[in-house]
Amino acid sequence: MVDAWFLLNAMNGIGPEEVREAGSFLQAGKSPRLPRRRRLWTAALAAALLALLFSAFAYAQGWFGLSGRVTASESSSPYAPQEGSVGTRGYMASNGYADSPESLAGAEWQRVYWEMADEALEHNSPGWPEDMGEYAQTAMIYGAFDQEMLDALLSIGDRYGLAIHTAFLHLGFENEHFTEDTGVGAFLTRPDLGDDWSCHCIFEDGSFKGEGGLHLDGKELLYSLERYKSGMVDPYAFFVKDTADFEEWQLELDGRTLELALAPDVDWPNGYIFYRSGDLYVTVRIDSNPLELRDGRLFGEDLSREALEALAARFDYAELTGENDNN
Amino acid sequence: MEDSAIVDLYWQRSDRAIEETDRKYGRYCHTIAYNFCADHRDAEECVNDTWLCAWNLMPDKRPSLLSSFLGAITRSLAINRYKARTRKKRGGGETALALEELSECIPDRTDVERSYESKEFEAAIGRFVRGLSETERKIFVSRYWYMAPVAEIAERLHFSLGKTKSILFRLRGRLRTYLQEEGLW
Repeated sequence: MVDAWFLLNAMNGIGPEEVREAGSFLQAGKSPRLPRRRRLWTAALAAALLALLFSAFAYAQGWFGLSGRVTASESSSPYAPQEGSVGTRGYMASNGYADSPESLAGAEWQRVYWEMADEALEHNSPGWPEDMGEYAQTAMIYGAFDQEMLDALLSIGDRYGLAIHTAFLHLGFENEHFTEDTGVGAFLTRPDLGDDWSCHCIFEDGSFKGEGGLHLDGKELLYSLERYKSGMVDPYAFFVKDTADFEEWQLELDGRTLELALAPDVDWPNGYIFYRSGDLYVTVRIDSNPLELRDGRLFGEDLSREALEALAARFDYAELTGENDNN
Repeated sequence: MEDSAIVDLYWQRSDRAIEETDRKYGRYCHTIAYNFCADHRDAEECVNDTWLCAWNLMPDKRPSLLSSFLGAITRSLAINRYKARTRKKRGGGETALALEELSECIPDRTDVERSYESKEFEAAIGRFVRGLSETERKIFVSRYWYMAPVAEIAERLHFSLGKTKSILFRLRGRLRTYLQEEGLW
């Protein structure tokens, strides 16, 4: 019988030289961190003030780019930025703006989850709970280890007036029922360039997320794409270290307004594309650093503003948000 | 001590063989075992069993890469120990997470009547891994051979956790496709 154990054992087919290579890689001492670009304190302070002013003004003007989506938050999550910043750092929900119920609920769940997870990890290896009854899938989606965590999640949903995801319609690579489950057809505008997509999961409300590659100037850039609905507690964490690192602007494309954000020196992701239509939020995260590791250093390329705009045109937003069906 | 010299000790049935092996590879093998078992006592027993297996296998074997040879033994022992321990309980730790990840590589419609040869899959995975770029290969083998935590892999590469997980996700997709193209599914 073929199962994950079968595949795990089949990894014995990996050659001894490859095993040795990875062993050396894992046992090597830590390399010095790549030096960060220094800023003059006055320039950083000016950037911070500008970022704050921009956020407040932009939000008041209905600007909902990156700055308008990050809720300041603290969490022990390994994904959360722990070091200081000059802009806003914190949690970014995939289905709501800064300080919205969705964003506040998501930030609170991440804080609560990691507090409980840290304690559980200290005393026992966590695993999916054995029996959560009608909430079994919910527990799996949100990673709730036990009834106490599940109760905390449900409480958060209640307090913020949000629903909780109850099921995966799909989890994994099979894409056969993607259109049926999400209402979304082909949404990549340039598959001829080699752009591709794999769906990671689809929830019961048709929200989905996945990842793929975009080809630009002979390189493949990783991206993730999510299309989520408001009104739900977001199960997945995303944190932004410092919004002040990013240049933000709007792009008018086929009569739609996209919000873009770009920070060439930041690690994944360093490019964002946002689009909203009604209660549907589309978020694209792009990594402009290709995968090559040369001489122990990352081989990265700056993603230009023009390149990000070109990549923004690789997606059919009308298809992603069902606007085509309404025409 | 050089690997060839350690192997010579086994062939000479010297008492020092295990001592030198433990000195050079004890920690290495313990790490491999611990990544699977998530328990130091179990890991220590796996390591001790590894030395016994090595003693029984050499001679006749004379491995050219002793680290890989010992690591493979430890890995197999650790997998069996983990399976035995968690047979009735859905366990956690890196092994459980890796199994969840690898389950994505198995199409929904595998033929339950068909007999799948593990050797064919082992050979195919070996070819797949050799075809990866250096970075991809390090990430994949670190995760699915060594059961290294994703966070550790990310830190060594100076990649973010999210990026490393994305790379693993895509590699699993490519593995699935590769196995299908090889006609193994």
